[in-house]
This record gives sequence, structure tokens and C-alpha cells, in this order.
Amino acid sequence: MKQTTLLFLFLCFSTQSLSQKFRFNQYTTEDGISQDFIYSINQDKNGYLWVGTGEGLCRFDGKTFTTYTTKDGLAENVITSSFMDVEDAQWFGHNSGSITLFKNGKFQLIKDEAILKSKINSICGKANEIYVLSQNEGLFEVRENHLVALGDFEMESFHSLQMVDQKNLLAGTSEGLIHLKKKGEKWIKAALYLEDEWISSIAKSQNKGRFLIGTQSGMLFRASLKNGTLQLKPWEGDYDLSNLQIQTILQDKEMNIWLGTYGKGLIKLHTDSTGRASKEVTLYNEQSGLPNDFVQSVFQDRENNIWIGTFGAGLCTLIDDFFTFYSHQPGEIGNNVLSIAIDDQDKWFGVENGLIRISPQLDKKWEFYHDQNGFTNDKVTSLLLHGSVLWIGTASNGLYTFNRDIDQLKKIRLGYGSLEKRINQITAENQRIWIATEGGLIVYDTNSGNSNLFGTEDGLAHNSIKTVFKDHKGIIWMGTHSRYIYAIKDATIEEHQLTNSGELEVVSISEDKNNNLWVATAESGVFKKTDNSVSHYTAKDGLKSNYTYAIQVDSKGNIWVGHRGALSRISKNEEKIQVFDHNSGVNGQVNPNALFLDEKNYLWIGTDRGAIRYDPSKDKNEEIAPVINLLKVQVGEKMYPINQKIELPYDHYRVQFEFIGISFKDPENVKYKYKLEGHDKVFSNYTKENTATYGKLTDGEYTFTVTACTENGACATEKASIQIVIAKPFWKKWWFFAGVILGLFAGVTIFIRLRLKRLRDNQVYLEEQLAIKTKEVVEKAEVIQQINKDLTASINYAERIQSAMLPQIDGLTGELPASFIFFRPRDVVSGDFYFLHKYQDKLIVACVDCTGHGVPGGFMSMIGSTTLRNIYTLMESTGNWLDPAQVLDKLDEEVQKILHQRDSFEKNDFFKSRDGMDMTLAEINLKTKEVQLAAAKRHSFLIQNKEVKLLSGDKRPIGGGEFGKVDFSTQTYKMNTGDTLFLFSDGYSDQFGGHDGRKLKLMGVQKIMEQLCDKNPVEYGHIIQKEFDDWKGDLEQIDDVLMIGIVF
Amino acid sequence: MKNLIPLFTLLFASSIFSQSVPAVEENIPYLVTFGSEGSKSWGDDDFSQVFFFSIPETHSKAVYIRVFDPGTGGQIDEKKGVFNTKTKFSVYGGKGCVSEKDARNSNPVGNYKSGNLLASKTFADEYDMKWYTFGPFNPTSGEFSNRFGGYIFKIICEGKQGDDGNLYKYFLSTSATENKEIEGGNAFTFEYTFRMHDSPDEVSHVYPYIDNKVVSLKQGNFDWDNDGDLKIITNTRYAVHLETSGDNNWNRSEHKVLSKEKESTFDVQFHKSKDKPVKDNNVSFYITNQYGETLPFFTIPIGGIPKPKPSIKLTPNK
Repeated sequence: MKQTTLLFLFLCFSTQSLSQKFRFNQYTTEDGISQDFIYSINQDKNGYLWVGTGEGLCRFDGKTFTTYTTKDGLAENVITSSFMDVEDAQWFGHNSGSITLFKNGKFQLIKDEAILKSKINSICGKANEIYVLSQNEGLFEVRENHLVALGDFEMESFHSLQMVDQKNLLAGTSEGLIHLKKKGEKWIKAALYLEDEWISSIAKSQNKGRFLIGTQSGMLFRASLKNGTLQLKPWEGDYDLSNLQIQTILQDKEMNIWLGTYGKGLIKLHTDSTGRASKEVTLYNEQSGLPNDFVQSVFQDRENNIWIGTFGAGLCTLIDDFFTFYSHQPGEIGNNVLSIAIDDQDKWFGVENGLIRISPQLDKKWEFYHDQNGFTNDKVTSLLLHGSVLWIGTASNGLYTFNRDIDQLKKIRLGYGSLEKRINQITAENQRIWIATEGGLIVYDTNSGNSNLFGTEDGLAHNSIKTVFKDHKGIIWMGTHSRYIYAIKDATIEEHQLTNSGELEVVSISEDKNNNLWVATAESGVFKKTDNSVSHYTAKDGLKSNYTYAIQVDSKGNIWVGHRGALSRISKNEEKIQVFDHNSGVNGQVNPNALFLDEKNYLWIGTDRGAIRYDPSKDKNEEIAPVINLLKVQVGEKMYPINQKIELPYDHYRVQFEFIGISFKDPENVKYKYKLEGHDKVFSNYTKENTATYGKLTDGEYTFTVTACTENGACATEKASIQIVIAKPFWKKWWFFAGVILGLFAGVTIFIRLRLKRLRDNQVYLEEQLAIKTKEVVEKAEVIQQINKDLTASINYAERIQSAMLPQIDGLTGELPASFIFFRPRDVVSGDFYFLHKYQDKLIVACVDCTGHGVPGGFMSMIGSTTLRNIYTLMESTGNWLDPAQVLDKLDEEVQKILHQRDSFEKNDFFKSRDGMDMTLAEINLKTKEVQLAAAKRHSFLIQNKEVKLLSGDKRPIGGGEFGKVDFSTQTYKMNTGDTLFLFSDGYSDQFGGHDGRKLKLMGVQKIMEQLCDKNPVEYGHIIQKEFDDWKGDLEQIDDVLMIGIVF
Repeated sequence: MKNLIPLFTLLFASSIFSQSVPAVEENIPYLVTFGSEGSKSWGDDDFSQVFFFSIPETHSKAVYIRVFDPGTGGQIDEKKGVFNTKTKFSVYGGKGCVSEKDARNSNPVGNYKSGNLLASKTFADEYDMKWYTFGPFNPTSGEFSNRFGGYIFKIICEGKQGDDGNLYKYFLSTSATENKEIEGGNAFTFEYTFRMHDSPDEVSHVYPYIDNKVVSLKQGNFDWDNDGDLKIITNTRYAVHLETSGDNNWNRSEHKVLSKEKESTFDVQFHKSKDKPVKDNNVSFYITNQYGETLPFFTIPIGGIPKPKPSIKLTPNK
């Protein structure tokens, strides 16, 4: 942890009067620095502070010291000097003559023990022209990393070196300052100055070409080269430097000169803007807070912080030097500063037991007034310098004056009660002195000595007047326990409301440069009153507390508010409220109305722990952005270099970035925002975490960018970034796509080729097989052909037999000439047949449709035909004439017998005989033209009187395995000439055809019949045949067709 | 040298808090260095005195070398006519500070001012009976020497001008304002020039360390003025008497070192004459080994003050 030291410096005028102290941050070995002896300080372009110690080199980032030693590549651990060249390479000199060059992150050793053994006291130069000063061996040049001795110039020891230009060097020795000139390749001692003086430091001035020379005997010179001759000019300041052992010199950016001394701490010689000495000198030493009086190095960083390298007490930096703290040793004089009044003659401090006067005019430079020397041992609550008179208000003893012309203290007796002697504040307006008391507001006329008292009877809300203030117009304002402040105009009291509800205790009033009044209240924060409005500021707006004790506008227009243990500062544009508390060294209670702005624009703050002086000229309030640095990139468990692109093979990675924004001003409040391009769309919100972690990064190109900002938002313009490339998986790469396409193409090609080959092989095989099969088929076809031929011959022969068995159609047309028989077997032989038999005047006509067609149908027709003929033969022979129904019954019986149908059913044979026949049997009486008709499962049509009648038969076949059915029936019809009876098999009605390939059906047949009604019966046969052919068209005949038209 | 046991390992056998030079055990009132124009017959053979201080490696805080009465004048210094002497004190560290051979010589010749000059101041008559402090010094800016027990600093006192005798003392301190010993610190020299007590009852001591390669030693004393007896006490011998010098001359003698006496400290005792003790006697003294290499005198005797074992065994009467 850094330590803040607060020590006391007793001002030169007294050990009893107020002392001065400064605040420093101190970094020692406990904070991580390698050693407390600091030899050198530098800052690199990345913002890191490089601190050379006696035990290694430390790099400081504001929070952490990183130490480098010989183990890391340093030539030696004791670093005695350092130099940063124009290329940002750092050169370090060591105790035993070695040199380390730190460049591009690597240490490089330069040593030559044969010629260089002693301490390197100084390094300087330009790029590629580096000069090294060894204490005992003199001047060297580093040429291509080798040391080249340039001479010792007959001097005993060397301590400091600066390069004026390429042909002139200044070297400080123990015997004086030597001017070295380059002649040809040699350096010669051109002149010796300050003979016998130990030149301990030569520093570059802020003015180019000028130098500051310091000696161990306290001499300080300005030096410059004029016409080749060194001009030395002693320091013109009044301050006596003769007792200083100057060790190091720094001229800061504001031209002030800082002298680091051995034994006397750090001296700041203030200058004007041209660098001319001013009278002011600030001493930073052990008594004023510097941890150690031995200062080896001083450095001003990019944020203008002053760093002090001490010899034995570590590294220090000065904090907020715009605050100077004054107190003194505890004793008889109080430290509780209740009131302050300062002009160019005197500093007056009212404390709890008297009055301190500090004045160069006094013999002992100070005086303390109390009850032993004419004053009172009371709290001095208010002081007012008015001309040569100091007006003094006390806490309980009333009013005093101190006339500086005659050095006389005097008590002013106003003649009021004890409350009126309790004075809170005093102000003046011309000859009138206004005194705020606990008993009211008193106005005292200094000319007449008369006084007047304003109180509640005059319209005030309360008699306890806490504050009285004169504005720029001379108007007197006062505050009391009230939500109003009061103005006295023309001897009358005006009230001005601050808030419209509640009560306030107004404790202090001030006025800004825009003539607005600022009012501090005891518990309610601060009010700003303009001519026509009132604003209110509280802790919510950023004030340290709503409890306030004093208010004062400073020379820059900022409004300071005193609290217990803190100060709040409202910026003049009211954009920002800044708090200064113990972190800034403000610890004490700010006393009521104890803020005072002196003629030099110093703001003085009276607290119960002494006085604080605020110097606005030192409060630059510059917002310098931090320098951002990437520290680490960790991918998984592995660290990667941060200065080059990271390329990773494809995977899912956890990536962590660590970074730091270096700001020594306020390292704890550096905040960051970052973005991983390729992953994040926008920058992150501000965070104080200095790491960013990404869980699973997969293939892609990423760029991590981070910036650092101060708490107030000043961000580094140059961001830190690093690129990470995670390779695509092979399946996303072009060559893979190309490969896949090629592979697919090749695969397909190979597949096709293989397929083709296989097909060709198959084709060959099939052709071979086909040939074989063809041969077999041909052979078999020949066999089949032969069989077919035989069968066909058989069937043809059977057809001849069947044809022979069919009766001659003359048997019908001979009796009924217009009649016709349309008989068209589907195959060679037919399952349909017709039967004609004439017995006496009876003509028997049967239309039979046997089951099956072709050969089996032929067989059935043979059975049917033969059996039917036998039945009629038998009827003739026996004379037992049966009507058609009886004939059908008989035929049925015979067929079942012939086919053993009953046996097969009764035996439940696997193949049951279901063969049989449908038929219509008509017995026509040729004489009477009476027709007896019986039908087994067949229909007939009758055209009679140009009407078509459907004559339905019985619904049982002949045979077919149907047993136990009722007998067939006979129906009798009387025919007239022209009537026509149509008997037909189902082959006609079942034929597919027509335009949609459906069956003709019975309805279709009936329609044909109806068409016939208007036709000549002679044409019936032709029409019936034509209609069938037209219906069938190109379709195959599906069954044997038989249609018999009997035209009467 | 490599076979030498590091001396600092033996330091802890003795007092570790005695960095005043001269040390209490030595019973030497002051060191003395005369102005360069002084007479050697007053006891200083070379107007120069070199002392070394060792800081243990473990010590990391600042160290100071304090000089008591560094100026010449006032109460204790030896006046010749009027005080006109200037004395320069220079502190060295760094490489070569002690490792340079010339730095260990009994005479200020050659590169005896080796190392890095860290501080230097010339005194006339200032700081009478007061301490002047050199430092702070960073211990690591000394020369690290394993043999001599840590980081070594060298202080050279030179009489720059005048003829008076500057009597002074040193103290190796952790404080700039008071004498606070450094734990484990020590001081040593290779030639002692010091002021003797006036009283014959006082015996002064110096403590050379005899390393293991010493087989014989040669002592040299200058301007003893025949003021009594010089003898060496070892861990085996009660007294080895040394040849003594008279006025303004050196006398030397050589003595064998017994094997048991190696790696131990000898006690060189300066016994003043009881008859005619010389007042304000200053003497220079050194010891070398058989090779002529000077041996260091440690203000804190390495291994302690030698105490020889009695050779006669006494048995009590029955």
C-alpha cells in the first residue's frame, strides 16, 4: 500500500507559530519496489515509470512494481543512471561499469571490464550516438554495442554529463565543469569552469540549448553555449543555496526548478513563465512531509506529477500540492483556527484561546495575543481587516480592535447584553461595522461610536445572527434560523425566501462573480440565489454532506463549502462538485465562516486541526488521459505475446485480455471500455476491471480494442489492440469445398462408370442369357407350337364336331323365316349352343350358355346338347311330353348326375363340381303361335306391338351344384305376327365396349331391342350383329355370344 | 584465497554490535592521521589511513559512516604550532573497493583509492568533539565480498595539508544522527595508525586474523618509541614477543604460525613501559603473511579473542 505521509515543517519565523506540511505518496519495498534507494526515474512512451534502484530495475504502472534483475538480463542489479533515447530505448548504467540497453522489450548487455570498471554516473546522447560517463574512467561512446574510451581528460572523477550538440559535451567532475569539444574523431577538453567545484548535476533546461549546473557546494548556474564558448550565469534568486549539496536538478514544464539535495530534501525554486527566479521557494523535506532528506533523482511525468527518488526512503510523489497545511506543535497556542484575516502585512489567525499574528515586521516574526498580554483567553470567531484596524469578534467577550498603527488592542464596549457579546461574524461597509451576534445584528458607526441593534422586533425571524455579508453593491445580507435571508436596504429589512417550506439555519453567505449569492445552511446544503431564482445543492448532487459550516467563492469562481472533515467545491459552471477529504489531507472540522480569500488569491481554510492554504495557481485540474497498455492475452491456459497477431488453429477458445491504463494521478479510478470486433457490436460499458474474458471464440477474425479513461472521462486517444485469427475448420475452407465438389464429381463419375460397366456386363450377361433363354424359348416354343398345333387341330376338330352337332338354322328359319341366330363363339369351340327340335307342330328352341367357354364350355355344351336331345327323344318315344319347365328340371337332374355333382358336395371334395348351364327353353306352337317359355337364370325380350318386354326366368341354373331349389316354371305367351322373341346368352350383355369401355348390360340390350321396334324384323338379325360389333369395337370379345331372334 | 572460510561466518562467535573504530575491545583511544606536512617521527608513517566496513548482505537499509572529530583543532587533536591541518575523508564503494590489491596494502601507493567515490569531505578545524556523518549509503553500492562478510565500503583519511595530528574515531551506523550498530557489521584495516593511552596501565589490542595459508607472519611497527612491549597472544601461546621500534623508524620481526593457530584471531597487545611511559605516543602497525600480503585487523575479533589453554594441569590438594 502506498503510504501518505503528513509531517510538519516549521516555518522559519518560529518554532511556535504555524508550520507547513505537504502530502506525499510514498512507495517502499513494502509496496513492491525492489529497494528503497532510488537512483533514476524515467517514463516510457507506454506510460510506465522505470525506477532504477540498488537491487534491480522496477517498472511501475501506478499500482504494481515489476522488478527486473540480472536474472532477467540486467548487466548488474545496481542501477546508477538511466537515459531514454529518442527511439524510446532505455539505457541503464550500473555500479561496476556495465551498461544495459532495454530495447523492444529485451535487455542487452554492454560491458568491457578491461576498460570500464567504475560506476556509470551519466548517459546521454542521441540515436546512434550514446555517451557514457564513468566515475573513474571518464568518457566513453557506445558504438555498435561496444565501448570506446574517449578519455579521462586528466580529471579525478566524473559525475554528470549532458550533450549540447554533436560537437559539444558538458561533463561535471569533482574538479569542475569541463567543456568537451569534438575535433575530428577526438574529444578534447576545451575549457574548465568552476574549478575545484564538484559538479554533481547538469540538467537540460526547458529552454532549448540551455542547461542548469548544480554543485555539491550549493551553487546553481544557468549555462549555454555562445559562439562556441560556455556562458555560465549564477542563479539570481535570493534564496541561499550555499548549504545545499545539490544532487539532481529538474526544470519542470512551468519552468520551476527543483533541486534534489543530499540532506536538505527537495527545493522548489519558483520562477516566472520565462524561467526567471521569483521570490517564492518551497522546501520539501522531512519536516514538511518528505520521507527522507536525501534526494537522488527528480522526475516530472507526462501528467506533470513530480516524482522524487530518495536515497533510503523509496519513491515519492507529491500529492495535490495546491493544499498546504499549517499547524504547530501542541502547546499553549491553540490549533483550532476559527477565523483568518490576511493582507500583505500580516497573517491573523483566530484560535480557541487567542489570536496569532504572523508578520515579518515583528521582531520574532510572530505574536500570540491572549489574556496575558491585553487580550482575552477566548475563541476568536471572526476577524476583519478594515484599513489599519483589525476587528476581532470573540465567542463570548464581545468586540475588540487592534490598531496596527499603534500596535494597540482595544475592547469595544457596545453596551448590550451577554448574547450580543457572542459574535459570529463581522463585516464592514464604509464607516459602519456590521456585527452578527447571538443577540441580533449590531451596526457600529466608527465615526460616532454609536451602534444600533436589529432583532426580531425589526422583522428578523430570529436574533441569533449566524452570518453577515456585504455584497458588491454594499448591501448587507444576514442569515439566521429562517428559510429567508435578509437584506438591509435603506435602513429597512427585506426578506428573501430560499425555500417555501421547512426551516433553515443559514450559517454563511458568499457572492460569485455573476453577483449570485451562495448560502450555506447548517443541515440543508447550499442555496444559490440569483435575482429571480433559487437553486439548491445537496449531498445528492455531490456535496460531501448537507451539514455545511462555511462558504466562499475563490478567485476562479469556484464555490468552496466547508464540512466536517471535508471540503466540497462546486465548479463555477456548476457542472461538477468535487470533494476533498482525508484523501487530500483535509481531516479537520471546517469552522463556521472560517474561509478566507486573501489578496494573492489564496483560499485559507480554518479547521480544528490548523489552517489549510489552497493555491489555485497550482490546481491545474488538467485531465490527461491514461496511457492504455495491453498486458496479457491468455488463450485457454496459454499466454501469448501481445505485440503480434495471434493465429490459432480451429477450436473453441476461452480468451482473456488483461490491460492497464496508466495514470499516476488517480490510478484507482481509471476506467476502461473495450470491444472485440468480430464478436461485439459496440464497446462495453465503462468498467474498472482491467480484464475482459470471452467464453467461446470460434473461427473468425477478431480485433480486441481497449481504451482507458480518467474518472472524468478523458480517454486515451490511442487505443491498444491486438488481432486474433482463429482458423476456419477444414470443412469451411475453399479447398475442402473444392475437394468435396471434385470428390463428388469423381464419385459420381466413378459411380456412373462402374454402373455403366456393370450395366454393360449385365447387358452382355443378359444378352448371353437371352440368347440362351431365347434358344430355350425357341426350342420350347417349337414344342409349344407343336402342342398348340396339335391342340388347335384337336380343337378345330372338336369345333367340327360341335358344329356338326348344332342343328341347322333352317330348322328355325324354315318355320319362321324372319328369325335369325347370331352365334359367335369366343374361341374355336363354344360354351354356348342352341337347340332346335321340331316335333309335330311344336318347335323347340333352346338358347344355352354353359359355364366356361372354349374347350370346357364345349364339353359342357356337348353334355347339355346331348342330354337335352336325349330328353326330347325320350319324350317322343314315350309320349310323355313335358312342358319346358319340366324339361329344365329333367335336364338339371341329368346334368347333376352326369357330373356327379351331388356326390362331390356330399363328399365335400376339394374340387367340387359347380359346372352347369343357363338356358332359355321355348316351346313354340307353330299353329297357335303360343309360346311356352321356361328359363334357367336367363332373361328374354319380347317385342310385341312395338313394345319391348323383359321376360325374366327362374333364378337357378341347370346343374351348378345348387340342390333343393324349387322347380322351374313355364310361362305361356301368345304371339302375333311380327312379334319377336329374343333368347340370348350373357355374352351379348356382358360385352365391354362403347365409348367408355363399360359393359353393355341388360339395359343396353333392351335399348337395342327398343330400336328394333321400328325396324323391319327381317333386319333384326343384321342389326343385332351390327350393334354388337359396334359396341365391342376393338375390344376383345369376352364370352361366347348367342342371340336367337324368333320372329313370328 | 578460495580456500578461505568466509570470515563473516565466524563473526557471530563474537560481539556483533561493535562497529565503533577503534572498538572497545581494542582499548585504543583514537585513530590518528597527520597532515601531509607533518613529521613522521610523530608516529604516522604515511599521513593516511584506510579502513573498511563490511555490511552483511541481509542488511538493506541505509548505512552511515560517522566520523568523530574529523577536523583538526580543539580538544583532542595533536597540535604542532598552530592548527593548520586539513584532513580529507573519502568513502568508496563498488568494484575494486577492497578487491583491488593496492587497497589492501599497508602503504597508500598505487590504486589504493580504488572503487567508486561515494562521498568526500575535507575538514579543517570543524566538528571538534562532534560527529560528522557520511551517507546515507546504499549497502549494495559497496563491493560485495564473500571473504570479508558482505558489502564493503572503504574510508580513506588523508592528511592533505598541515602538520598537526588529527585524532578521530569512526562509527558504522544505521542512523545519521546517532550511533546505532548494524547487526552483523564489522570494520577492518590492513594497517593501524593510532594513538596510545598515556597511562602505562592501559593495554591496547589489535586483532589480526590468521587464515589457513599463513605459515609465518611478519609484523612491522613504526615509531613505537620503545614504549614497552609488543606481544602476540594466540589460542596456543601466551606471548610471542615482537621486535619493537624506536623513534621514527620501523622494526619488523618474523614469527612462525603453528598449525593450530590457523584460522584464528591473534591478539596483538601493546604494553606501555611502566618506567617511562611515552605521552601522546602514536604508532603504526601491520602484519603480513609469508608472501608479504597484509592481514586484516578486525575491530570485532573473528572467532573471539584468543585464550590459550594452560599447559600445566593443576590438580587440587587432597
